[in-house]
Amino acid sequence: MFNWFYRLGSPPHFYKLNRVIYPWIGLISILLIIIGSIWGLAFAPSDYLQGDGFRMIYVHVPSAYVSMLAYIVLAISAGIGFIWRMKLAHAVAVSAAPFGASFTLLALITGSLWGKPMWGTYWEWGDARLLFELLLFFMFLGYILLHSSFEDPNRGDRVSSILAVVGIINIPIIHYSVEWWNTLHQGPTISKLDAPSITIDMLLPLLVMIFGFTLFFFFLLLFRLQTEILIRSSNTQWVKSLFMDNAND
Amino acid sequence: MNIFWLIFFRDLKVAFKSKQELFTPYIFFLIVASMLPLSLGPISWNTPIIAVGFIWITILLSSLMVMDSLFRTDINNGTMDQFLILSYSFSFIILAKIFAHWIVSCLSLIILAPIVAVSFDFPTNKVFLLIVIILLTTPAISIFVSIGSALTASLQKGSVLIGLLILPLISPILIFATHASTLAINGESMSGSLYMLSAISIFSITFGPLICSSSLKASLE
Amino acid sequence: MENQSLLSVNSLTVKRNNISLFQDLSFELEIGQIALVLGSNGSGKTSLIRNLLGFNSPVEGSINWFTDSISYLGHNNSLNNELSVLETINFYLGLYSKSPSLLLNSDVIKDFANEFLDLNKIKNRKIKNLSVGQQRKLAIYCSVLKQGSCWILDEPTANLDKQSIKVLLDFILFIKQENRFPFSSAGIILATHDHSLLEKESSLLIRL
Repeated sequence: MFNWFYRLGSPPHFYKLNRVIYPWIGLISILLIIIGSIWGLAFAPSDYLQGDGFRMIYVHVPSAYVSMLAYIVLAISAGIGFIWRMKLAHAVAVSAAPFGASFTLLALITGSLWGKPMWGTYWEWGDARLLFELLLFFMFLGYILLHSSFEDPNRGDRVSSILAVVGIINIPIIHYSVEWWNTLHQGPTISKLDAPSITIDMLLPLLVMIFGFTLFFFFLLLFRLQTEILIRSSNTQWVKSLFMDNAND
Repeated sequence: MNIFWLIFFRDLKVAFKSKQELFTPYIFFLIVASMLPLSLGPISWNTPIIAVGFIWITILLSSLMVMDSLFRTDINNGTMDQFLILSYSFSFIILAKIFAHWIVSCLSLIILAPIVAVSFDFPTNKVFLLIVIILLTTPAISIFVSIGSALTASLQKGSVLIGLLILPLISPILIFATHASTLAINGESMSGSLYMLSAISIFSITFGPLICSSSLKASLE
Repeated sequence: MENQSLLSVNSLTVKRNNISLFQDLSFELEIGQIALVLGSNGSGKTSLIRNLLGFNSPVEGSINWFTDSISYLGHNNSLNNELSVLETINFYLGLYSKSPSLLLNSDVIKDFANEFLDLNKIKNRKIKNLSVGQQRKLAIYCSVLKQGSCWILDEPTANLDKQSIKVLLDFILFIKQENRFPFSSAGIILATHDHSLLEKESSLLIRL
């Protein structure tokens, strides 16, 4: 019953399958991002309250969304890798981490750039979403640093996957406690990052961008995964024969 | 004697014998507390709200300090291997070790935190409430820092990492603890935050030792 | 009780950092047998032992234990520097759930303690004030107290003088065959780089 699961989990099989898939995902994602950007930046109406400043939403919200998705992908694949001792799952987790951190950083930068015209300051400590993004950024960094400080990659995989799982259990608690903390300090700074009501012609390009960013993240993940698989199985026969074939061509 | 208590008392004995390790966090706690007003400069820092912030940030920092040697000594001298081959639950052994460590570190905080708090004009009649909050909060902090300590146990320079790994995860504890302390100063009912803190502590005591033991096993592999 | 099997290992492959240490190792150990694991430094003796104890999971193959009482002496001595010798012994007695009066007063243990360890002289010293050899001896003594039906020793003779090695080897042979209180005969796995140790008495020879 789990035959397909095991076959997908075998590195050589996945490597060959992925080689066909990931360029297409990359192509579609870039098309979507181009369409979404032009639509959002040039054709969508400007906000009556924030003017054209609100157009930052087309980068900020998708990257914030992808940063959360990236941690979920990271933690779930790390958990699968830990429980079933599946090497490919660990490779997915390790490949997801740097891109998750990058998207979180992008969300932080766009958020603070957006904050300048809206709040008059680049960073508003009272804003729960930005603070949560910052904590998420530290969690990605923690995973990357912990993983890279092990000399033995297998041990690093197993130990840091525990950190990822503990992190994903804590994320809801962190998220809601930060939001709750924010309501205590509420006063002059009402979070303007969430538009109170968004019209359909603003929403559609946003959805296109979210979809494009998500696919772009998976493209980066799969692209990095190819290298990660080769590094991890560099001693095996199939990698050697792969390079022999390439040399003969 | 039950193995749980045997390990608990052995760890207490070892902690009280190595004076340097026992007192470093206390002194660290006091020094951080005395540096904070210097960092704020010439503003009025003798307000209870600032006292709350000082107390909790020093508690976090000093508990990070205590925990580095928690598992490393036993791993380096091989005692952890003997624990692993016992036909006794490894998680309970870990819980005993964390419990002993909590006793040592929490004792110091219960004595020192009120003194520091009062020096920043924390109302003296509310100090009792502060101790209750510390008692409810520190078990969860201890468990989380133990997880960090277990994750980095086999690394040579792991102690630097613990803070980075663990502080984002204990931000909810910090939020609820400071909120409860502020309510205590204002004389309002703080039962909501206390329930949250107790819930987090109980939750971490239940699952923390399991997580610690599996990460220790993974790092001993 | 004769020929009771303790451990069976089937086609075991062990790797360290993706480098294969040995492949396809199979053996069986019974009570009253000594398995001598011979190999130079870095040949994978400790890795084999850590696999047997279940600390590491093998890359391939299987390990089946038919007992759960194992005495283990590792590379490190499992002693805490801050405790005294007596405190350490009491700690291990508690950990192994043994009654101190019954065990420590038995002739076999008493003789071994006096001859091997000179226990009366050092019992109140702190571990950190013992010499390296004395620490090793104390670690051996503590692993004896567990009275496991399998005794796993990783380089037990490290830092020991000739006289002590002889006492230890005699004691190993004693534990292997005698059924005298408080011991019942046990199986022994001895990992060493020294070819002269008990090679004749061993029923299994594993060269790594």
